Amino acid sequence: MNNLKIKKSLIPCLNLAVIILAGASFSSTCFANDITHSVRSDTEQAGSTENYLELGIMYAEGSGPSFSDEGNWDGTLLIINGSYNWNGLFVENYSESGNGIVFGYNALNNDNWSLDLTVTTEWWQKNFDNNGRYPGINNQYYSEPLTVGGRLTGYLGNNAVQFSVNQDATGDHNGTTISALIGRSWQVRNWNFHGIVGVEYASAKLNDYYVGVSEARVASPRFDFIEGGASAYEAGDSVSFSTEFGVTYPLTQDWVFRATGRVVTIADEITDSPYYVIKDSVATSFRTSLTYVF
Amino acid sequence: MTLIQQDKKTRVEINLITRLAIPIFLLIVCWFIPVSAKAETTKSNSSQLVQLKVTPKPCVALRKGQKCYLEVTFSWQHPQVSNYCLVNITTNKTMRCWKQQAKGEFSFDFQSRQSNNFALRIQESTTDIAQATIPVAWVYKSSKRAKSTWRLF
Repeated sequence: MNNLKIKKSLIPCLNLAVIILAGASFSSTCFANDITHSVRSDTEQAGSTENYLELGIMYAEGSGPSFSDEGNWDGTLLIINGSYNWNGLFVENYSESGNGIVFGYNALNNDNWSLDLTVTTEWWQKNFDNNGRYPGINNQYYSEPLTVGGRLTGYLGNNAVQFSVNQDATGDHNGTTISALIGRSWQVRNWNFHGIVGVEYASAKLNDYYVGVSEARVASPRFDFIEGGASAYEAGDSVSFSTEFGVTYPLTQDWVFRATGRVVTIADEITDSPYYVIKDSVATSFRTSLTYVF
Repeated sequence: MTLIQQDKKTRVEINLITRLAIPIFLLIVCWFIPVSAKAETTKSNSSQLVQLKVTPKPCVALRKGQKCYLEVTFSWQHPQVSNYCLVNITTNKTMRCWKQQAKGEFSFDFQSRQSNNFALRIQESTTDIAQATIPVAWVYKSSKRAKSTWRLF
């Protein structure tokens, strides 16, 4: 068992070492390659929404409430970040945040404010897996509801505020989330730091869909670990607070390094569910990535 | 199969995906690596004996419009001893002058939002003997952090 644990922890470290080594060895040739690049066009409007695509690899580790007796996790995965905008319609993906592909329409856009109407089928599980609220939810057990939402983003100097509403549109659980965040970015030489604090409300229907336990389910062997057996549980609505601090550094004109730490509070309304073996009220995570920008 | 068992199965699958992901990623990365690196960073005039080099370059900022920072070193040489000056043509500022020298070196902390051109000149002259450029490049052409990256939940 111990051997297995050592093997598990070494693999991601080895992967990370390989990537860092590969990145370091390639950096000199890539730098030379940059010289052959023309400097990117200076004709784009400064505040315009950007079309971009980047491919990379990320190592992440963290801890938090868990459905098993292991509260720590880690892993290495491929990431695809990007957005493409066409006549107000857009598709975007930002793997570091954990949400899936988002399709949308930009209904309002000026120098300071942008309102997007969004549709996605990958919101809930990826989102909640990412912030540690419902760890280890397996896609085989739940369908991915179609989610519609709105996102209002304001840029006030180096600060950004964002308000989001998301609603299950297919009736799987009719859950709703409402969130607000304020972020700030600042530059120290070529290092770009950012900090974000935010709060999110999740409706009882949503929480109950994922962590509620019905009278019929309570007899499942799944809950044999609970002495005396589990009780049925109906989850209530919840409020979570979150903060993130990160740094982004352009290694070359094509390669970007990122490191981000995040802390999210997990409400008792969620972790009181019998599903949770580890009922921590805080989930922490650290992510570092290396991406190639096309 | 319990959820815990399923979780272990998922972890095994993730490890397999991880093992596949690394070589695929490196393969894609290699595709974009140039076959041969272009090492020449010097711009000089027609005479190969007059040389003005600046290393390293370019200066890369993350976003368009950001100030770019880079510690650079200029080195120059000329077949004749004379009074020479290194001039930033973009800002029309004399960086440094040398008296009765045939070569020199100068390091400084480059900070700019745009590419800068430099020239070696005879003191009090406006004729460029050799030129060099520090290009300012950026990764993202938008000056704003993408909306999708302002996410917590």
